[in-house]
Order: sequence, then C-alpha cells, then structure tokens
Amino acid sequence: MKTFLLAMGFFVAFSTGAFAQSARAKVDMNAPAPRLSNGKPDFSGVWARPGVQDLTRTVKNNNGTSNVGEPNPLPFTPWGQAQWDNYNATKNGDYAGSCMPFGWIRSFTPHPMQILQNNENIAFLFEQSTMFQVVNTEGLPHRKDWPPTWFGDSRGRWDGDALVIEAVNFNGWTKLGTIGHPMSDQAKLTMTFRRPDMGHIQFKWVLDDPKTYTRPIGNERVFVLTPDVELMEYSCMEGNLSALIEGSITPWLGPKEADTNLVYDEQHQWSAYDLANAQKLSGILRQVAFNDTMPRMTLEVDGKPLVVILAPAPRMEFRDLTEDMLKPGMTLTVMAHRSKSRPTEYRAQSMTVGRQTIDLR
Amino acid sequence: MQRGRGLLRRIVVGIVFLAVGATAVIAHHSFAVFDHSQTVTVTGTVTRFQWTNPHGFLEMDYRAADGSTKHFTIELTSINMLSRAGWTSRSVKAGEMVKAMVAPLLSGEPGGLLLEVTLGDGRKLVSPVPAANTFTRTPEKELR
Repeated sequence: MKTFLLAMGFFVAFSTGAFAQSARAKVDMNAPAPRLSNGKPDFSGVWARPGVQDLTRTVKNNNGTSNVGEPNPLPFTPWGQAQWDNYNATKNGDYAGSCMPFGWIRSFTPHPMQILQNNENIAFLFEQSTMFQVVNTEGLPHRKDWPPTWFGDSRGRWDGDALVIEAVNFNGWTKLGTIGHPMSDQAKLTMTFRRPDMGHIQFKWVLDDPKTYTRPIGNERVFVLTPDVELMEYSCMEGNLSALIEGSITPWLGPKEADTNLVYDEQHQWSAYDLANAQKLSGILRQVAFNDTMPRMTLEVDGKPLVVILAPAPRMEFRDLTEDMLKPGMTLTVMAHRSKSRPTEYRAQSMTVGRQTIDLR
Repeated sequence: MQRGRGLLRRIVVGIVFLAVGATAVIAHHSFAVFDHSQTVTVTGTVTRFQWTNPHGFLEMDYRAADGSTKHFTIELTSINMLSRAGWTSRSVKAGEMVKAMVAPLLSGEPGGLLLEVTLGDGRKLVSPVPAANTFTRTPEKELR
C-alpha cells in the first residue's frame, strides 16, 4: 500500500503539466510562468527546440525557436582540431548511428522534448531514441566514484529563478551536434534554463573543455511551448540493427583516441598555413577530388594552377556544398591561407559558389 | 534489393536522426545528399514498406525502358513525423502499384527522398519532409 501511494504521489507531482497538455487548453503564451509549490519556476511542458546540428550556425525559425551560434572557426586545441578533422560518420561510423545515447547538447534534436518537474527533480524526456535524464535540483554535490557516462553526472541548483545544471564526468565520446563538433572527458558543461513567461524557455549552455577548446564555447537558444504535441515512442534499433549487421551503416565500435590528425598530416594542418593572412582567390576550377580522404581541388588563378585543400566531404555536404555543385570550368572564389612551405598550395577557409558562401573550417 | 538499400543507407547514415521536424535551414543541410533542383517520378510495385525509426523506407520495382525490372529505394522521415502527418504502417502495402515523386540521390544511385506518393486507389499522400519547399518540383519525368 505504501509503495502504491508513493508511486501515486510521484505521478501526481509530475503529471500536472502533462495533463494540461493533453487537455489541449488554449494557452496564453505570454502569461506568467507557472511555479512549483516551493516558489521556483516550473519548466514542465513539451518544448520545440531550434534543432541545431552545427553549433556555429545562428538561426531564427518561424515557430519562434532560435539559436545564437558560436563564431566559426571554433577555438580548437591541436587535439580538438584532430578530433574535428578526423570525424567522418560515413567512413568511420558514429555512435548515434549505432543508437548509443546522444549526450546532452546533441540530444536536443528536432524531435520533441518534454520536461516534468517537482521540488526536488527535473526530468528531461527526449522523444529522440526514447532517452531521458533526471536531474536533482537541490544543489547536491556531484557523485563520487560513479563511472563516466554519455550524459555525464548532472546536478542542478537555483540561481534566483534560473535553474543551473552542471554536468561533469563524461566518457568523452559524444559530439555536440550531428556535424561532429567534439568534446572530451575533461569537459564541464553548464546549462542555464530560464522561463520568462508561459511560452518560452531561454536556454544557455557553456562548455568549458580545455582539452578540446582553448576557451569556453556555447550557444543561447529559445525553446517554444507546444501544448498540442505529445511524445511518442521512438526506437532507433528497429531500423538500424539490420543496417548495422548488413554493413550499410558503419558500426561505432568504441572511441578511437585521435591524438594526431589522421586526415590532415603535419604538412596540411592549419598550423602549416599562414593563418595571419587570408587571401581571396578567384579562378577557374580545373579538377576536384571531393571524396578523397583529404579533399582538394586545382584552381587556376591568373593562368597559374593552385592546389586548394578542402574540408572532409561529410562536413561540406552538411553545410550544403555538394560534389555536383563543383563543375570543372566554372569560376569559384575561396578565402584561403597559403602554405608556409609550398607557395602554390592553400587551405580553404570558405568557398563561394554562385551566391552561396560555405564555411569549410 | 538489399544491395540497393545498402547503398542508400551508406549514403544517408550521416543524416540519420536529423530528418524529422527540422527547421528549414537545418533540414536543408541534412538533406544535402538529395537533389534539390529536380524531381523524378517512379511508377511501379511496392516490394516492401518498412515502418521503422529512425527512417521509413519504400522499396519499389519498376519496369525500365529496356524491359528489365529495376529496383529503387525511397527514404522517408521518421515514423513519428509520418504518424503526426496521418500516415500509418498500413498506408502503403507491398504489392500495391504506386507513383512516387522523389528527390533523387545526387550520387546517381537508384534511390531518393519521398516527397509524395499516389496510391493505387488514386489517393495522394504527402511526405512530411522538413523544408519541403526547398525541393524544386520539375515537370513529371518518369524514371525508365
């Protein structure tokens, strides 16, 4: 009986927000934010997020969700740069394609997320792959001697009306978005949630990860309440298991410690180029090796053939530069840095095709 | 058939999980492997309608110009997004003759992304592709 009552108590405490949703009551998005019995803001609700898969992008969507991106290029350490340049989900597999937990920032996908909350805990229910996280909000210290995990060890505390969740003790295998921005087991992630009114959450995350980035990086995002949306089940393996077995999706088989850059050797790393001067090169595309391990092209500038090193193919495709857009004979412009040792070689920071400029770094 | 699907999946593995409900900008990026500048129409028999996450698949056989039977693999969004758009696991049936409008793979492999499908009884189902307006519909061109 006691167990039953406890279970019921849990249900009632967590279900207030959920009931309002399924009732599909008309919600005043500008009304004051609801509060818990302890007076703190209640973040409960189903939330639309901007679905940022490349944290360097700033977006403002029609549904009111938005992201303020981190300036590109990111301040990589040599180790971080190697992680970024070696990342190729198609060739080497990706943990998300193998249905592993996404980790905090990447789990904020376009699929809905529900928050349920009481005085002690906040629960994040991700429709994506039916993942969840429950975080205590009473200012408890991080657990001692727990093993490192995909989402890390998360603890919450209140700073006035802002809920601050700090996560540490990561396994270091997760990426911060589908494009593959890395993080390490040394990272500390600080996420701040504010609910200024009924309809909006202001979400800010800061990653302090000296192994990967030379300074903290982060985004500021706006989530919008979607009262008519209910979470559905989402099984990743039902579709991907057979694809993994038959080999059409490359399985992720554990981390590869990439202390060195396997794609861009010492001769082709950013440090091998004159980074103080970016040059604008306009010329005729003569040849392109788009899908090479280290993609490159030959650009004829003022009658002289120059070798221009490009980004890994999946990154270019993700940012909307596809192989079919690069036709020999066409005119192209790149912002590029000259090799310190080979005067006819450059590494491209961005490329302009027609009216479109694509970041390659 | 397995081979055709394998090829498509190898190409789309990088975009798995991105497909559904994405905002215009993001979705456009995630669907970079598909041709945004033209559509093709595939008329043929459904060999399998795969109702799974992260993506549904529509496998089709069609009659090529030389009289041979060829296979085409069509990717859909997640079944969660399909459900929210009114689809069910029985929306399309194996053995049914359908006409599918797809954004073909840029690689030239026999596959594409479903934009809409006309069923045997004439009903048309729209595929809930994020940022569908970024895919240019060209005059009907039958894959042969």
